[in-house]
Amino acid sequence: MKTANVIEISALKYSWASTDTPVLDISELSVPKGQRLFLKGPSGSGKSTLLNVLGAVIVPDEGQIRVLDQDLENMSQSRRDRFRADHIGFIFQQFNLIPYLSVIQNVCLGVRFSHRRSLQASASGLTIAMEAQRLLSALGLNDESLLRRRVTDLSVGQQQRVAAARALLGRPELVIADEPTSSLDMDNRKAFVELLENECTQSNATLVFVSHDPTLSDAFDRVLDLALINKVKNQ
Amino acid sequence: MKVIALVFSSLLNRKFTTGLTVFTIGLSVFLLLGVERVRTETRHGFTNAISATDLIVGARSGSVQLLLYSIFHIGNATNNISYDSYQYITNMRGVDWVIPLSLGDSHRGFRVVGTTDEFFDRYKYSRERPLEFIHGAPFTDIYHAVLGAEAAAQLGYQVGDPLVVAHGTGSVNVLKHEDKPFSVSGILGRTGTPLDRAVFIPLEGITAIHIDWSQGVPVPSQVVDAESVRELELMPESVTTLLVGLTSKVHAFKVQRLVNEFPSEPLLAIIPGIALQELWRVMSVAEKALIGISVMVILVGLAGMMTAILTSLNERRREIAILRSVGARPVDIFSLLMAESIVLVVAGIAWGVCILHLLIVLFAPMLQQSWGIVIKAGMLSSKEWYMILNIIGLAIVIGIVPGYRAYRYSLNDGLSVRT
Ligand SMILES: Nc1ncnc2c1ncn2[C@@H]1O[C@H](COP(=O)(O)OP(=O)(O)OP(=O)(O)O)[C@@H](O)[C@H]1O
Ligand SMILES: [Mg+2]
Repeated sequence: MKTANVIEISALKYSWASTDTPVLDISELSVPKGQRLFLKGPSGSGKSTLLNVLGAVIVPDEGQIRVLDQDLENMSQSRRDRFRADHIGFIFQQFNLIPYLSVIQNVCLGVRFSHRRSLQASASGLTIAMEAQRLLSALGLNDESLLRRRVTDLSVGQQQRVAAARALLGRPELVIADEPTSSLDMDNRKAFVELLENECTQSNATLVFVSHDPTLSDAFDRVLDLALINKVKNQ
Repeated sequence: MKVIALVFSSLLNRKFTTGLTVFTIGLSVFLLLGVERVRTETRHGFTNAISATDLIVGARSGSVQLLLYSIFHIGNATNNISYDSYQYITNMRGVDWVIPLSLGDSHRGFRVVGTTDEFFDRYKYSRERPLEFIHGAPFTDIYHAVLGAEAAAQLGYQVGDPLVVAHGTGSVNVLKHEDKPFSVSGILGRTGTPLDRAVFIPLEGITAIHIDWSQGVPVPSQVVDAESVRELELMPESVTTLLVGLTSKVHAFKVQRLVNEFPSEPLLAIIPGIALQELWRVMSVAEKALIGISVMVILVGLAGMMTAILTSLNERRREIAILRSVGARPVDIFSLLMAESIVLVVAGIAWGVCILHLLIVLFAPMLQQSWGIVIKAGMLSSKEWYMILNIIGLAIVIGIVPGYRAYRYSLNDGLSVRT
């Protein structure tokens, strides 16, 4: 049964294995296709943990999680890997860039593992590398010489944009961004959010965006405080 | 595969350990291939040196010893063969030709071989190849000498140059036959056999220079000068060894038995091929030990590689988790680590083959000089390819260990990348 919702959560519970105290307890959350969701909440409230569940990185202990009409909780490990590689663009809070690869290699890393994403990246007639370059320059990294440099030579703000370009390459249906603007200055922050919105509009992707910066929330369809739907009250 | 490109970047990121690992594996591969190369080339060279000869006859001793001193100029004869026995064997049924060799003298470190000019017609090397003169001609006088290619090159002699034969085979000769100098009449082409390092003179020349000698020293009261010696009967009293050609190989065992049972003198006849086999049997113990050690060294090299990769894994947990987070499956991680082992080993093998050829080019002339063993650089033999493939196979098996470990890591750590 197809629904218009890209994300459907019900009665979800999660606790990290090392601690017995639950981090998430959400009775219901749904995100319709194409929506841009701004997720906020105090530090430690479980925002990153929730994104990990949505990104099929971790499996909930209880409850249902449906993303793009797939039941994640019943998927095998390798199917989840495949699913994530094919459909989800994840901007991690800690960037997750490979230090010894160049900027361009890092951006193209994701499509390397997904045939579907690599097809979509080159659908517009550009090569994958050109598409990567397009995204990077849209994010303000248009210096050619920068592309061949190791990512570790870049500033933190630049690295964050590299991570974003990697997530967006190949037009994933669901973009998950965990505080992607934390290291950017005001101007770049605006530009970044604009690009994210543009890309998502073009590919009709759904966006889940976590940030502590309330000034950014205007551009989003919906603003949600995790503290309001999460029954676990974090310290 | 999607991960292969990453392998190189990742390995280059660890240049030092990568280099060290490749270097170690290279050395171990070189050792194994080197031992194998020396072994086969030695055998090859030994086999090539005797082709047309059906029997070798000498004073009774060990057959390997006889083979070594008669053909390879290694070691010395314990005793000689009388001229009568030589004549008798020449006239035996089934014997086609007999070439006498008289050994025991030298010229500036090169062995002097007294023989007849029939030697140059009869002797074959590398199956059916006859000896060739690149300069000059065989002996026409008792004071003529023919040089092997290597001897001529090293001594810098040309046709017509004089040379003096020294008594004995030590490289520092005290007693020389200075009163009877020889002159170079011909120079042979290169054969890749011990002949290249030999100086040939006629049997009569050997007799002439020793005619006024007794017990290895000149006898002053009997001095005969170089020219008047020509008047004397110069057939030698004895020769060191005989190369025998038969009318048909089927007589080999019969003639051999007859020579071995020769009543008037204890003689030994050997069939070169069989004596060689015996030599290989003696040598195979040492060869096996060497090959065994080389294989051990390979194992040590591969174990070192495994350790290096396993050690690096700990530092690379994060790298692996990142790859997982962007879509690499645990299987991809496994292949990544496997590919890493294979790349290291293949690079190591390439390096080992390079060292091998480098050292061959550098040291082959020395080996040929002191041992007469010719080792050629060039294409790898099928045996060597087989060894290389085995090493790669072994690397794949060994690569499973870090591969599986990384696979487990990536399952256990999941994707939670913690800084
Ligand atoms: N990999 C992990 N293993 C164990 N516990 C974890 C792990 N990641 C997060 N936690 C715990 O889960 C809780 C929620 O953390 P989470 O990272 O989801 O918070 P957050 O809302 O994203 O905070 P911030 O705004 O600071 O990023 C915290 O108490 C944290 O200690
Ligand atoms: Mg967080």
